[in-house]
Amino acid sequence: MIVELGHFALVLGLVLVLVQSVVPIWGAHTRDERLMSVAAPVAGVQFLMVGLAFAALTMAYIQSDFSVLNVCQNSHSDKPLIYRISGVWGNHEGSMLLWVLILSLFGALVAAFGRTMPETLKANVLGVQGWISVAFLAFILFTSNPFIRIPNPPMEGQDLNPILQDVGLAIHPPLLYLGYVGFSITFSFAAAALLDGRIDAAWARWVRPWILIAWIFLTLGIAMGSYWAYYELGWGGYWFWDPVENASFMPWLAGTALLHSALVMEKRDALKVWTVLLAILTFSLSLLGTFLVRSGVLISVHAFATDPSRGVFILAILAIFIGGSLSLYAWRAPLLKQGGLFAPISREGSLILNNLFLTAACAAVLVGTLYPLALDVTTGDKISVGAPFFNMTFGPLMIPLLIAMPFGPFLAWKRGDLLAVAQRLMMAFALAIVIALAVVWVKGATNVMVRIGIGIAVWVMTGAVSEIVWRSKLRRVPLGQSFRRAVGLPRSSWGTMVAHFGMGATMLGIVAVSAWQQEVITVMAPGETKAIGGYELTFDGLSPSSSSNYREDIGHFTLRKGGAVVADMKPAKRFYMARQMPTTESAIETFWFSQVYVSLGDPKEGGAIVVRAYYKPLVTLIWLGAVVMVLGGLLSLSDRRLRVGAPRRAHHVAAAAPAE
Amino acid sequence: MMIWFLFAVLTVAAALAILVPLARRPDKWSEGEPGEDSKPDVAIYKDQLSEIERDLERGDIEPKDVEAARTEIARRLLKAARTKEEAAPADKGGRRSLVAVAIAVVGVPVVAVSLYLTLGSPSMPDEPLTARVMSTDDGFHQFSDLVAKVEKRLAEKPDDGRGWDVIAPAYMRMGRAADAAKAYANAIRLVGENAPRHANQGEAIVAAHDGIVTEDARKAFERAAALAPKMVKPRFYLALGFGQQGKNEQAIAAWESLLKDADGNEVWVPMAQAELRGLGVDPATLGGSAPAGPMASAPAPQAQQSASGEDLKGPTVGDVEAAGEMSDEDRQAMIHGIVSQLDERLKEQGGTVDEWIRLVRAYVVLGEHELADEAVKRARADLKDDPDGLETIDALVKHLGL
Repeated sequence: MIVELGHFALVLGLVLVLVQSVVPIWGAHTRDERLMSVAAPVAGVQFLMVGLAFAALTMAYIQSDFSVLNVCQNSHSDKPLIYRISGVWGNHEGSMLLWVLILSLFGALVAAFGRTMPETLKANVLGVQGWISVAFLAFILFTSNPFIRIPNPPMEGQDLNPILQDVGLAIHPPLLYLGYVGFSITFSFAAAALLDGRIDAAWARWVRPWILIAWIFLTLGIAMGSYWAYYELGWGGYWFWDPVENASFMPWLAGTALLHSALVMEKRDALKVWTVLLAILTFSLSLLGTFLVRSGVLISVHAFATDPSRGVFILAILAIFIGGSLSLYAWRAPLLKQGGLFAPISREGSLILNNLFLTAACAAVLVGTLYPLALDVTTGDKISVGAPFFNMTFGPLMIPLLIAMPFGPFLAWKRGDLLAVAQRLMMAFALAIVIALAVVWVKGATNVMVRIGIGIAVWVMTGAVSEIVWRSKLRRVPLGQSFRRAVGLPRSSWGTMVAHFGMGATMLGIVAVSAWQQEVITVMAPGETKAIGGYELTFDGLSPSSSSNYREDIGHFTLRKGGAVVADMKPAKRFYMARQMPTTESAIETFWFSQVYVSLGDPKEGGAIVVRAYYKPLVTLIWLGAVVMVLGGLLSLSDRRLRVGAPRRAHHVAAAAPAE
Repeated sequence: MMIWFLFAVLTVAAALAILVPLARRPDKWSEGEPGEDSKPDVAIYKDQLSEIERDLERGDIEPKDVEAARTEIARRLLKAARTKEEAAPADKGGRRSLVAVAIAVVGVPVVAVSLYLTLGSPSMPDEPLTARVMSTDDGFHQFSDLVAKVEKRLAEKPDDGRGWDVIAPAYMRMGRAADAAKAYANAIRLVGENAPRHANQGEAIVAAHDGIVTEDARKAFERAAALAPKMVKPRFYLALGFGQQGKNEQAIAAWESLLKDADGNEVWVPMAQAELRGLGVDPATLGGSAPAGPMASAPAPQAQQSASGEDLKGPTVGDVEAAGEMSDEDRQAMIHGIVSQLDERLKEQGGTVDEWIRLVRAYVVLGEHELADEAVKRARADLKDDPDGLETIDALVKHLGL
């Protein structure tokens, strides 16, 4: 009964979202207050319905109800509870349901917290959000229904891909989707503005928290996915320029550009047309990513061609939303009133520079992702575009962006003084050069790019800190006063600094790992010792072990530094019985920001085994930097100006509350 | 009935989400000009005006630009304050509300219920595994326990060829075809090759590849056919493989030779005939074999039996597909038929441990416990010279709880 209740709730969700996608927009068009007021409660109840459906499916997974086809295909009663739950979104149908759940979650959040927005904007936003939900709910119900039942259920399910049985991956998709799908709401804001034919500086402020929220989750999701690939795939790589990774990275680049261009729009009422376009493009890239990942087109273009029903449906959604929104844009954007002009050397000028580089980088990634597919479709040639392409296109675009990054926050709005800014940054610049030289001198750098890379990374970090130093007038006024000034700075300033600092940290990690990583791939017999990164790694032997759904060989290693034992490391090779699939479980030891990474290859005669050991200096900075960026986003989100207008509307809210 | 009540509750909740806001009296905008401050954009621009001072103090804007910035924002503020939200005429608004009410009261329930009825299965109860295991213990879990025991023993003694021989058909039954293929390969390596092992290995490989006769499978079948030229299974799959490879002439020849040896009652005959028709040959034109009467076919089964020797005739892909299309009764009858065939053969000729296990297990699964008991007795008698075999039978009896 629970299953069918969930199915009915999902159908009801579709019906409600049809109402949500028509009535409020009709109301906004005719300025009918009552029709518009339908939007918020319907968005809320629709979220509850989809939530109920999701809960019902989760329940079916927890109880191993194999009368549900989806559960039967993707679960197994021997699986630990947490992976039975994560199995809900570890498959196509369930992950699409999660997608829609998050889509309606954002609708419900706007309904609940969008009280400072004008009614027409809110109605239009929720209406457009409804359109997206209609498309995806119909996609789920008609091509990917997770509630399909089987009359004579088998006694056992067919398990989840063992590589997906991992805590990191259990939380990675929800985070990524919160980011991915979160940009749907900025898309809805853009489409709503176009429908209304009105867009101004205030719009940028209303949309800003939503951009930030989506950006925060997307950043976390990408970082988490990267760390997962790092420790689970056993090769110690953290980024593969894999199409699936690119699919989430492109919206991040576009979203980061959007985050910055919305600032210009808020402050100067300029760059409006561009910001709206970016909002549309960001979500379009999210949709494109969903299409690439979900249609099966990446696995095989030909498999996609032989069973195209799902892929074609998503392709249609893609075409309708991207085509539709761009048409709407072409039709309505010329009506939007342009804001004032401004000088190239100014805060807004620097933000435009940021946008140029970010969108160009995004385009490079897009080309690198789609070109192999296009080639496969048209000529049948299979090529893979790997790191070299991206290093040659993406890399050179990032370098000037990062060099320019510390200048931006120092420049004044309207008209900046580059010379003065350069003087203020002298300290940071000198510090960066000293640190870079020192690091390179200690570590030794063979390659000029490494020196430049370290220099830029440190420059971004010192540049970010010096903004706060300058603003708090440290060493120009007494220390106490300077502290008070620092505390009194708007949270968004702190957010900028922290996020930029995090970007520098990530870059430092990337450069350090690519320059000074040490790698030993060798056959080790028990008792043998190898040196890696100043440590000695001793292989003590293999021992077998087994768990409910896999058996494993655990390698026992002792890590010593200067003869003293610093860690026991236990990498393993697992073999999952039900799927007949091997996986590697690497062992990682963290020393400050650096890591020693050991994973096992194939066993050899006489208890020996192929061992891959890496020393990865500063590698954790790659992900810690992302976490710091997220902290910056959170600080910015808590800025007081994003709450302006809320208290003044309190009496209306009180009147509306009982009705909701 | 309960479920429809809950559906109704959900539907009412959905309808209320539309009705409640519509029922509210038309409020603030239409009742009169709201206070300027309550306009959200006005509030934002006022805040921006006050922000200029702070920006100047922090150096976010140069002093010479302050006045220009202030004018800019003031212009926005004026514009925002001037635009009025014009309300819709009341009477038209009333009609629009009526449409919305109709959608809520009629549209939502009708569309939701009719869409659900085409997609859902309201009469199907939940079937959580725990409840099912308690209510219908059909021996499945005992069977999996048995398999787990053998697996464990094999993990300790991977050179136990007989163990692989025992577990291979069990894997097939559990749908773990790739495991079965490996188990057969191990059995062949450790115990020695014979036609049935090769044939079953091939069949497992085919099952693991969604019915495709792969290169490995073909080799296995060819080896089996070389060892027992009259055995049906390898010839059947080889014929199938020719067809899949597009070697139509060879396929036709293989099917025809296979059908020539058949008495027309074997379960695979219709499939062979269908394959032939697919290759453009009418099987009816085959001289005197396919639809032959019982008289003509009398010698055939014997020939086949003697040729296949100790063949553990597992169901072929054709059988399984045929079983899938049958009604429950027919399927039950077919399984009974296969089991009693095995029973007859073992009664007359005796058999290996594996065959006895197969028989006992089959009777347990069919719920024929008396026949299972009897089969155990006969197995013990037949295997009295084989201590290993007796031990296996004893273990089986214990695990099946006979």
